[in-house]
Amino acid sequence: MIRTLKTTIIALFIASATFLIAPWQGNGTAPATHERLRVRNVFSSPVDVVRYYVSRDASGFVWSGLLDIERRAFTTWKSAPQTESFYIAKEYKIEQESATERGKTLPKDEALVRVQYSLAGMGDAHGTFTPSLESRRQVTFHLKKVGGQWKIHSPAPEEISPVVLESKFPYASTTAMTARR
Amino acid sequence: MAATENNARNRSTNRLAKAALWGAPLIAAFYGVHALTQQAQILTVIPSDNPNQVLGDVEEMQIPITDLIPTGAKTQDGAVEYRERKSGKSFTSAPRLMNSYTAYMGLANNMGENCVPNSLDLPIDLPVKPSPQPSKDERSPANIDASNASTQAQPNLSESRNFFSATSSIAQEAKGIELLEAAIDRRKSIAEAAKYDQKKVSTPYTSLSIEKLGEYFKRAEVNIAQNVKTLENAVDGLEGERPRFTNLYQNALGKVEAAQEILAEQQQNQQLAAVLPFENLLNPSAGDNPLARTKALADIFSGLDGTNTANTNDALIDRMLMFSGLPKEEQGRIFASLRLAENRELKLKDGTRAQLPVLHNGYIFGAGSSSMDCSSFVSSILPDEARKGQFTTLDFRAMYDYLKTGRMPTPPQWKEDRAKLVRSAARSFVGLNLYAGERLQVGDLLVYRLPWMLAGHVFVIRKYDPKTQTAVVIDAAQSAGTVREREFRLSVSPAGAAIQHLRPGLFGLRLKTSDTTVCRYADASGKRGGGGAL
Repeated sequence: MIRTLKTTIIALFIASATFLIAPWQGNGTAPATHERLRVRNVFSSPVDVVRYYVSRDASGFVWSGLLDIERRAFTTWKSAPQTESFYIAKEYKIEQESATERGKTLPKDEALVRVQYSLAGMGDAHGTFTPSLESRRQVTFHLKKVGGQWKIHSPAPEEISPVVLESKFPYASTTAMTARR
Repeated sequence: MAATENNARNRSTNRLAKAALWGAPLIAAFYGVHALTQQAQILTVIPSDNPNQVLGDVEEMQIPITDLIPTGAKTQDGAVEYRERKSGKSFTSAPRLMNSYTAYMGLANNMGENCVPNSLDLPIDLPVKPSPQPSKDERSPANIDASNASTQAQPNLSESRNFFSATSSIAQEAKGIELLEAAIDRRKSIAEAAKYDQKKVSTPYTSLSIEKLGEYFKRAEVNIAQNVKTLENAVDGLEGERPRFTNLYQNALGKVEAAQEILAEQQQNQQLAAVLPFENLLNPSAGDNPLARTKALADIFSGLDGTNTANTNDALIDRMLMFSGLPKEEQGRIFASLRLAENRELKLKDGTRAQLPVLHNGYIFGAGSSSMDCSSFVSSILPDEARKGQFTTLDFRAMYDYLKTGRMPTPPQWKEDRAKLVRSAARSFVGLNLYAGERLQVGDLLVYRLPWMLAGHVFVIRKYDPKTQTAVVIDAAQSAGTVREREFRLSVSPAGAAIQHLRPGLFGLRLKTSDTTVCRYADASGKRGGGGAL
């Protein structure tokens, strides 16, 4: 019993420490691994749904064309976003907003998840690079529970912009871009 | 001596006869076309007593040129005065919109990321600066000289110039209409070719057993993984498209892995045997979609569903997947018959070269996009001289800035070859400053892009009403996999408002009148496609 308790405490400590030390994703030191395509939405929390979307986005899969099956599984959108250019981020952080954070209580089947990006600039497939006016960008996802699954409801597809991570999308390497100057 | 005089007289007579022979039809043709032009020409004018001719606060009227007599006077801002034959009322030529561009730019700068055309809410009372003169581009119909309205019998230099201006404006309009028709035709032909390719690639799958389908999926997985590796290791080839194709292949890999898992699950649950005899009952659409053997597989391969068009992003990925799963001999045979497929050579990091079969949606190297975003759609319909690559709205913005200032805007930072391409393509267009009153025509490109923001859009103009600043535009609709026609308001003011404030970030691009189906166009140096005189 005591052994189980010890193990649990150690596991919890490691998990908390990991969360506190490295809440930002994609600092560029890890090798580029892409979020695997999922065709079923089995996530139980809204944060996981957003984490999946943002991680796929980070590899350029939203920019190159969100698949229909992903759109249906993870969003309530009627169409996929279509943007020729993308933001280039160095890293991002995902946080769930509390239900009352914005001065009103959300229904139980709705949630807000905030993603904060640390931006490097904007780019496109041709290597044209525009420095960003602001170093931070924040997107708040509004999710709704539909048929027992959390799905991204807003921003709408025409309002959202792809954000790739330079560590995951080599074509958006700002190092290579700035070296051309 | 007399003989010499006679010869000289004869030569002179011959010359006159020749001149008459050639000149008469030319003069007749000139005046014939001229008369037709005069009849067809409608001039947009505004009453001279209009107290406010700026910021679109005008009551425009469309009056045939033949009903107007130029008084010879001009207003302070260069507009030409006319008197209407019947009523005797005074009018002036095209209105001048106040250049509020600078003011809007200041506002737009503070709007932030959500500054998309349909969500703008600009205040009405903006600070404005004095109106600039409109472009002196001769081929702009707004600048057709007032003496166009003259019905004098004798031609003069001014009239000839105006005749050419009027004629070139007709050629310009023809060019616009051609572009518009190209937009519709190109899209239609791409959709048909994609459908044809889909049929070709999917046919071998229609007669496969489930076991055999598993084999094809396995082969597809191996081949696609190899293609992804090739693309990731490439350093040259498929310029501008390599990132997109890498992702398309990666998505195809994800799909085929998911499909294999579904097949394995079914085999594990021993449901497959039960499903097989009733597969068509479980999924009646299996006939259209050879991969939709179960509900789960139908969900993954929805791109092949008969209700979807074949040139969507999903359909392309499904085609790539099916093609990659075919046995090698069959691949070669089918590849040769595909309409939207090319073998591309890529240079790899280690210096070696590899061939990549590229199935596409009619866009690589300048025509459309697999997901068919608006700018790639427009790139795809441009004529050859302007279609030198797939352009983004940022590229179009740079073309406009380059045309107006003679310099490429920085930022952004441009790759040298990209900047060269954009500069080169810019020479096919005339930039239209809508904030200075330059007007859109059928076939013009209307672009929305602020350089410091990511959002951008480009439309082809089908109709345009300057009074309400409303346009009927054509653009690509990814979800429908087709072009759509819709109404777009250039102004943020209500349609009936006296003052029409244009949205920020708009500009127009007009293709120069190069060759059309009705005429060939050349500049003064005789170089084709350069604009200038006919």
